[in-house]
Amino acid sequence: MTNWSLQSRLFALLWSLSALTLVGVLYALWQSGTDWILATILVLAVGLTLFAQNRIRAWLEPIARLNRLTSEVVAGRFENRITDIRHEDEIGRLCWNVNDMLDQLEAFFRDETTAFREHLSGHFYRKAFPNGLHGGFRKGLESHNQLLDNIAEVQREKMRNLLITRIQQLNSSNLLTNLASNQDDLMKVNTEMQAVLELATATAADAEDSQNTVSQVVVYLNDISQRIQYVANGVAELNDRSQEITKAVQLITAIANQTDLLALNAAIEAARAGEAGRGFAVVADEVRTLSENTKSASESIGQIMGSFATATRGMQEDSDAMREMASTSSEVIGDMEGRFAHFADSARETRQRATRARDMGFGSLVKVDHVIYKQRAYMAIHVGDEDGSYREAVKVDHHNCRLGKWYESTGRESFGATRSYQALERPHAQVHTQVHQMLDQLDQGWESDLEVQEAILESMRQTEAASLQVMEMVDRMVVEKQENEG
Amino acid sequence: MRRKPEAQAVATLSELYRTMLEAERRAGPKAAMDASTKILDDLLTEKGMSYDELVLAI
Repeated sequence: MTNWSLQSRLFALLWSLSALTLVGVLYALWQSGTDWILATILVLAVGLTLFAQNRIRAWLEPIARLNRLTSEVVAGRFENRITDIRHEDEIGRLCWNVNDMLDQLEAFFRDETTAFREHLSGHFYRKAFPNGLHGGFRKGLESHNQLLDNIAEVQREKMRNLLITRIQQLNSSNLLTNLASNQDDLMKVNTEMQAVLELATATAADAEDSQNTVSQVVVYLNDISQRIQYVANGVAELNDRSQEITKAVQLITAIANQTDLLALNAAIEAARAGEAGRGFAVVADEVRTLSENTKSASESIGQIMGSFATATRGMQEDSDAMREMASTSSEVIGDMEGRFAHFADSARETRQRATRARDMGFGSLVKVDHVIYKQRAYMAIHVGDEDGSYREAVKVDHHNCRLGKWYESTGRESFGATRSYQALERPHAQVHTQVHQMLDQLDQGWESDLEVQEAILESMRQTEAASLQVMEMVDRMVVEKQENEG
Repeated sequence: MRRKPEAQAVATLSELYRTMLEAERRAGPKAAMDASTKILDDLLTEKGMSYDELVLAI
């Protein structure tokens, strides 16, 4: 009987009672003969038993359903309920309670599962709803929500790390290229400056040599001037001497006159030959004096002529020396002319190289400004909402960043004539457009959405691509300007 | 299981629903759906939320 259902057991008891009644009534009939009352009781007892069997079946029917329902619950299915509860007896209340319990269970598990699934998909706003649940169920979901908060935190951190890692990678590789470009610029600037230094050193040496040469020329010129003084002195001496010659010539003239007179006197005296001999002796004496005077005059002239020869020889020497000095000076001056031409060439080359170095320096500076702008964009991603200054800094458009301002002013003055200058604007504008797009994407929930992350990354890739063109244009701009200036 | 909505949320959504209905009435039967959908979409774009997010936040 232990395996029998509750219903069968109750039925067995009922029918046992009916059978006992039947035996009692039959015994009474056999003892006292036909008795209609007893017969009626017998019929009523059987009828009551049938009625009771019917009722019990109806009352116990929900238990069978409860039984099936709890089997479902055991299997983890909470969807079914007991319906059509007709009685408010213990079984009826049990049914209601089971239904309520299932409501709680189902809401609990369904909400927990949904919230968890949504969190895994990154929808961190979807928490479980503890309201409407009771006691342990409510506490369970509240704990679950705390767990979900932690999951959200971890997930956000994970996504953040993912984005930052990828962005960092993109940044590092490009930053290296950018820096290499700047390094290249600086090396070129260095080479140019080295050349400028060598030119300047050579020019200084040349200048020193030239200074020596000029000193030499000055010495020669001083010498020449001294010699000219000598010549002038010589000329003055000659002048003096020539006066002496004049005097000597006058003396000779006087002698000639005297000789004439003596000849006349001799003629007269010869005519008066009477007192021969006496007068003639006087004439002879005068003629002797005359001959002495004539001798001294000719001696004096001879001396003068000797000094003339000395003076002339000195002047000849001076003029020879002057000619030689003049020719040496001319050589030296010719040499200096060559040096000056070399100076001019060096100075021109120095200016060219210095200009080139300055242009390259400009280009490099502009590139650094641009790289800093990009680094700020990366920092805006890194720091997120903690520090808005980077975000503000990269919000400027391509006319108002440092490169943009340079482009409109100094850049236009220096490089406005090159084609690359014109071509620079488009990729530069593109860099700003892409960075601004990235800023918008930063607000679209990249912590939970891989697609948004991908979009951010793509914007930065585009930024880098455009930026590479900016760098290239700046380089080309410098080269083009050098070519134009030849 | 049914839960009781918060009175404030009901008020907010009733207001939104009223403006949407108003827009539908003004746009006429053909453009009605588009007009009211636009109001909802604009609200979502402005808040930067999905529909689920909005409903849960109210």
